[in-house]
Amino acid sequence: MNVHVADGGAAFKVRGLSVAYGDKPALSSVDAVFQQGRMSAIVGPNGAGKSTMLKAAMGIIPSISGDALFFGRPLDEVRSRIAYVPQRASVDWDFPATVIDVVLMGLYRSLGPFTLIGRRQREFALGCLEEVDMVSLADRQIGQLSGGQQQRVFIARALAQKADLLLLDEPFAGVDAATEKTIVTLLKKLVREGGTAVAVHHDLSTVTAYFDDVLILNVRRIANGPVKKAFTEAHLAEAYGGRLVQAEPELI
Amino acid sequence: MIDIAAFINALTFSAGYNTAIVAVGAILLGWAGGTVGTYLLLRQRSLVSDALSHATLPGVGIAFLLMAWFGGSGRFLPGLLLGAAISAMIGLAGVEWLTRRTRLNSDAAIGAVLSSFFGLGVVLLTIIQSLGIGRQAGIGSFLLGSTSGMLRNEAYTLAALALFVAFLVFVFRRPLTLVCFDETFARTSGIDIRRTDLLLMFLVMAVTVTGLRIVGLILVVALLIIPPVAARFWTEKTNTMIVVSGLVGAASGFIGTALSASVPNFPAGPVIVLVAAVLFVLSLLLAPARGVFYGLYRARAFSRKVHRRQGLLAILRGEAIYDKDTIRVLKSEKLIRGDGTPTRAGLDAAETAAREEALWTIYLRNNPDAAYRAARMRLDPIADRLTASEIAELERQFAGPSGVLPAQ
Repeated sequence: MNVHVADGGAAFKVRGLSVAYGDKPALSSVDAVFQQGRMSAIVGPNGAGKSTMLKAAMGIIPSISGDALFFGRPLDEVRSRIAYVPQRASVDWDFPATVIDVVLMGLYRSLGPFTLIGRRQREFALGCLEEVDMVSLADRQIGQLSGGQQQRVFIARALAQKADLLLLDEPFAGVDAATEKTIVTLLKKLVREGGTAVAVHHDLSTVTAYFDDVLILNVRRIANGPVKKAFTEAHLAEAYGGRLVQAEPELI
Repeated sequence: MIDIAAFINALTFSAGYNTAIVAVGAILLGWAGGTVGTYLLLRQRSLVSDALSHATLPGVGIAFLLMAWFGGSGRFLPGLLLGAAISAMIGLAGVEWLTRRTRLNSDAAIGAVLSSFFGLGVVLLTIIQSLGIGRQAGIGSFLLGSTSGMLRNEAYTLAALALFVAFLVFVFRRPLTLVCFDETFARTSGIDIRRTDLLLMFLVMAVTVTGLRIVGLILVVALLIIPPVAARFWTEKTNTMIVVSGLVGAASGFIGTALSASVPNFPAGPVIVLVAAVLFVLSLLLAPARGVFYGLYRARAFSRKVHRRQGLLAILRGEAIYDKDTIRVLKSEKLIRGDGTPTRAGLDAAETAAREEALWTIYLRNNPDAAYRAARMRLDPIADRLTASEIAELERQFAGPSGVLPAQ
């Protein structure tokens, strides 16, 4: 069987994915491929189904039809190779936990129920915090952090999972410039080392600078491929319609 | 009114066998309730336990009727508790179904299930009491609980429950915490949310059903809600919160039963709940992490530091100070005299303050992201906040390439 040859370079692939909320379609038969060792953006207007696509692929919300393959296999077989970074606003930051507690959550999968968290795990978690420049805040309650710092904690937790594929839902939403730079630099480093990153992204002006590949989405797939080929005015106009003029005047 | 000797005896387990049994039972129940209740609170499902406890009543009634019907004593406790558990499960399924399949909010669904099940239960109890079968005396104690005539077996049951809860909570502490904090992430790391929620509901039901006997179904929910809420004031860590909450619950059970043993006609269940409520109020006021008093104290201490610094900088610039609070702070530290002129100590402190302000300005130029934290830190002596080498580096930059401090 040569089935996997076709998937050789694909870290993440969705096929014919359709999702609806009740009878309101959110995604209509979307096909998309995200190559290994590259950094990809999912862009599209509000309500285009960007987050929905990631969530459906990860089995967080049910899909009507279609499926998702990771490294050519179904999710359950390769779950430990994937780290998902949810939207920052999806959790209650008043939760009784410190920064390092949240990073340690990235290790829960690999710890048995009777293993206690010791010095080794703590050192490892601090190493992950070092990558996002948050070591000095390791014992801070998470509610006291700024938005950018909270996002960096989430990124550190994903690092702790030691995954090959990072799926990030709006990692740059509402973060400061320094955080955005830290995260981009870090993701680029991971990708250089052979990792793969796929991020839902809303800022069209940074797509070219940050990403290698792009998926332009508006309920259906508009374009998918290297930024140079796919991220064109024609495709953006198709996705955003007249709204692009308000959204990104400098691009037109 | 309170019999002090009896109270001391109860607290030292020397008030007789029966009282000791009840105390041990209440301690274990309180501990189990506080532990499980922590996850319930963090999952933001505290009120579900209220629906669950009220939904036990029809089950108690039906189980009693069935057992009396088949000629036994209707008061066979395991039978009654089994009935309670079954009808609680039906009530819980009702709440879940209503919130998922209709557009009802969960609080509306809880209210609907709670009141209709409780209504049915009260009707059944009234019928039972009018029938005069199966030795129904005492069946009403399920409403408000009763510790009189608690048997050694029942204390064993509570001990087994506590161990069981402890074991399950320990084994599943990570999935439970993860589901409470970040459901999306939990799901992507392969945790079955539904099964984890079911486990939590099962633990809640175990506590509720065993708690019926002591505190009664109306108040058992207090043992699941009050201890974790009190514990939240003391800590910012989930694991610590679980331990503190268990301790609050256990202390409530212990002190509550001791009080009820030493005051005539003091019902144990409600007294246990009242003790928990007192512990809650004390935590709310006194706890260092989030307590009201400590928060006020910190706010006051901070505003005092702001006034002190502002006043010292005014002294240095030779400006008059008009703010009454600033004058009060400076006077209380003998930095200015009654007529507003600075003392020797005041002048020294002003120079130190000016130097530290200048160093902090450089620090912020180097670390623009630290603005928020620095706003707090810069009011403390700089040596408390930065390392000696950091300060030395700031001083080097402050002095400039010539190595001479700029004139002030």
